[in-house]
Amino acid sequence: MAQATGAASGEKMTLAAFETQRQVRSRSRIIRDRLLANRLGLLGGVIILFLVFVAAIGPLIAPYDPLEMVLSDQFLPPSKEHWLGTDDFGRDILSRLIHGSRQSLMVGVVSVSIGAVIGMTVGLLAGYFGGAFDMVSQRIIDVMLAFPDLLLALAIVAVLGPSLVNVMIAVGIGSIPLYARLIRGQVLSLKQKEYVESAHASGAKAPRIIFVHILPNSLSPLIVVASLGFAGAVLTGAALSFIGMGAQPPSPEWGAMLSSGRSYLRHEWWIATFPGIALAVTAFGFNLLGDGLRDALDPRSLD
Amino acid sequence: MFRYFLYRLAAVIPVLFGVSIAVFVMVRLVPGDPVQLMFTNQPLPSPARLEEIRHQLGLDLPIWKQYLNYLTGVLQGDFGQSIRSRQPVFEEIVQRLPNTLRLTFASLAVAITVGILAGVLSAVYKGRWIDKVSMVVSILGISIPGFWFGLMIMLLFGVRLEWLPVSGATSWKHLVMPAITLGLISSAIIARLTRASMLDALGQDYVRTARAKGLRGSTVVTRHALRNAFIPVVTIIGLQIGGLLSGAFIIETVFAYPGVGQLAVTALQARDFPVIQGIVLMVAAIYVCVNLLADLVYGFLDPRIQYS
Repeated sequence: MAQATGAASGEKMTLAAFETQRQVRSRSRIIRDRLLANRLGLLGGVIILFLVFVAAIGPLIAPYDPLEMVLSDQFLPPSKEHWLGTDDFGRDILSRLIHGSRQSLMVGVVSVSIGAVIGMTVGLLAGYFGGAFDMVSQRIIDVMLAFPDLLLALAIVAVLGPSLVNVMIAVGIGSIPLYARLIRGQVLSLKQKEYVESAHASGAKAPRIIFVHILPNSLSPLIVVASLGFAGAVLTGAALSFIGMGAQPPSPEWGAMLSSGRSYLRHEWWIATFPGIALAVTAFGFNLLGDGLRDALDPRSLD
Repeated sequence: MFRYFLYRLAAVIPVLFGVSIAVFVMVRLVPGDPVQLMFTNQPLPSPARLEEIRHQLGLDLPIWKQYLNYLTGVLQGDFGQSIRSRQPVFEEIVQRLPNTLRLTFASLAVAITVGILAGVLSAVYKGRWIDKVSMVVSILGISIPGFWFGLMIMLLFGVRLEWLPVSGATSWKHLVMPAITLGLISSAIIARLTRASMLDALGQDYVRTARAKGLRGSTVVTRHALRNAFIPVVTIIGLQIGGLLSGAFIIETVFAYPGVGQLAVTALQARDFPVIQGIVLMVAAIYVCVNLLADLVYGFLDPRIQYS
C-alpha cells in the first residue's frame, strides 16, 4: 500500500521514510483492528452513535410535544400510546427523554471542551516553557485539586447561579486540572525525545514544535481521558440538576426529570426510573468507549 | 520517614492557604451586594442601616484586611452566621458533621470490601466468567447515577419490602442504603485498580518463587501478591474519600439524611453563602488532610520510597 502510493506520486522515497510511513500505517491499522476486536468498546461506540442520532433527529421521532401538558393524561403507566408512561403534568416521558438527550450530550460536549481546551493550553505552556508560568499554574491547580470534583462544581455553580449553562461551565472548570496535569506530564516527557530536540536544533520555533511535534503525540491519552470525562460530566451535570442547581422546570433535562419524579416514587415509579436508565446507558457507553480506546491506544503494546 | 512527613506537611500548608483564599474570593465573586444578599426574602432596611451593617462586618475595609479578618476568624472557629437560621455556621456544621463522617466511613467500608474482593477475584481468575462479570458490573457501577440508584433501592427495600427505613439517621439501619449507594461508585473504581495492580503483582518473580516453593495458592495471593498490590490502592482510597464526602451531598439529599451534605444543598438552594463557604472550606480541608494521611501510609507501606 505504502509502496504503491510512493510509486504513484513518483517520489523518490528513502528507505527510512518508507519504513516510518509503513510503521504509521500499520500503527493506525493496529489501533483500528484492536478497536473492532474489542467487543465492549465497540458496544460503547454503537451506544454513543445511537444517542447522537436520537439527539440529532429528536423532534422528528418524538411521538409527543415534550412540554405540552395534558392534564387528562396525568400519571399514565407505560402503555401502547405512551411507551414509558406520562408524568405529573401528563407529558409523554419518552418524548421528554428524546428531547433531553440533546441537553445531556450538550453538557458533555461543552464541559469536556472547556476543560480540555483550557487544560491543554495550560499544560502545553507550563510543560514546554516551565519557569514562572509553570510554577504559578501548578500551584493554582494544586489548590483546585484540594476540592473534590463535585464540590468544586457545586462551589462554582453557587457563585454563578443555577442554570444548565452554568453547570456546563462549572463542570468544565472543575475538570481543567485533570487535563492540565495530563498534558503537562506528556509534554515534559516528549520534550526529551530526540525528534523534538532535533527539530529544535534545526531551528524550528516554539509554536511549530508544540503544534507539529508535541501536541499530536500527546493526543491519545487525552482522547481516552476525554471519553471517560464525558461520562463523568453527564452524570455530574445531571446530579447538579437533580438538586435544583442546573436545568430548571419544565426542561426535559434527565436529572431534572428524575428530581421531579422523586415525589411520585411510591406509586408512579416510571417517572423517575426511565430518566435514570437513560443517564446510566449514556455514561455506560462513554465509559466502555473510553476503556476500549485506552486498550487500543496503549503505546506500550503498540511498538 | 520523619523527613518525608515534614516535607509532605510543608507542602500541604500553602495548599490550605490557597483554599482559604479561593473560598474567600468565591463569595466576593457573587454578583450583587453581600449586605443586600443577607436580606434575601426579607424587606431591605434603610441605606443608613445597610451602611452600618457593612461597617460592623468590616466590608468597608481594604480587601486584604477583610481576608486577614476572615482568616483569623476561621482559625478561631468563627465561620460567620447563617443567613437563613441566624445560627453560627460553625455550630451548624459541627452538629451535622458526625452523621456525614459516619456515612462516609460506612460507605468507605462497603467500597473497600466489595472493591478489593472483586478486584482480587477477577485478577486471580483472569479471563474467566467471574472476571468478565465483575469488570462489566464495575463499569456499570461508575455509570449508574448514584442518586438514581439510591431512589431505586429505596423503592425496593424501603417502600415495597419495607425492610429498611427510607429517611432519617436515628439507627444503624438508616445507614445501610445510603452507605451502599455512596460506596457503589468507589467500589467499582477500587475493583478496577485492584485488578490491574494484582495482575501486575501476580506476574512478578517473587510470586513465581513463592509458588515454586510450594506455598498454597491462597497464601501466595494474600501474603505475597496482595500486600504489594495494595500500595497503589491505598492512594486511590485516599482520593475516594474526597469523592465520598462530596458524593454525600447528593446522597444525603436523596435519603433526607441529616448531614453536612443535606445542609449544603439546602444552603445552595437558599443562596445562604456563609454556610456554603464554611462547608466548602471544611470539606476541602478534610480532603487535603486525608490525602496527606494516605501519602504517609503509602510511604510507610512501601519502604522503597526515598524520603528526599
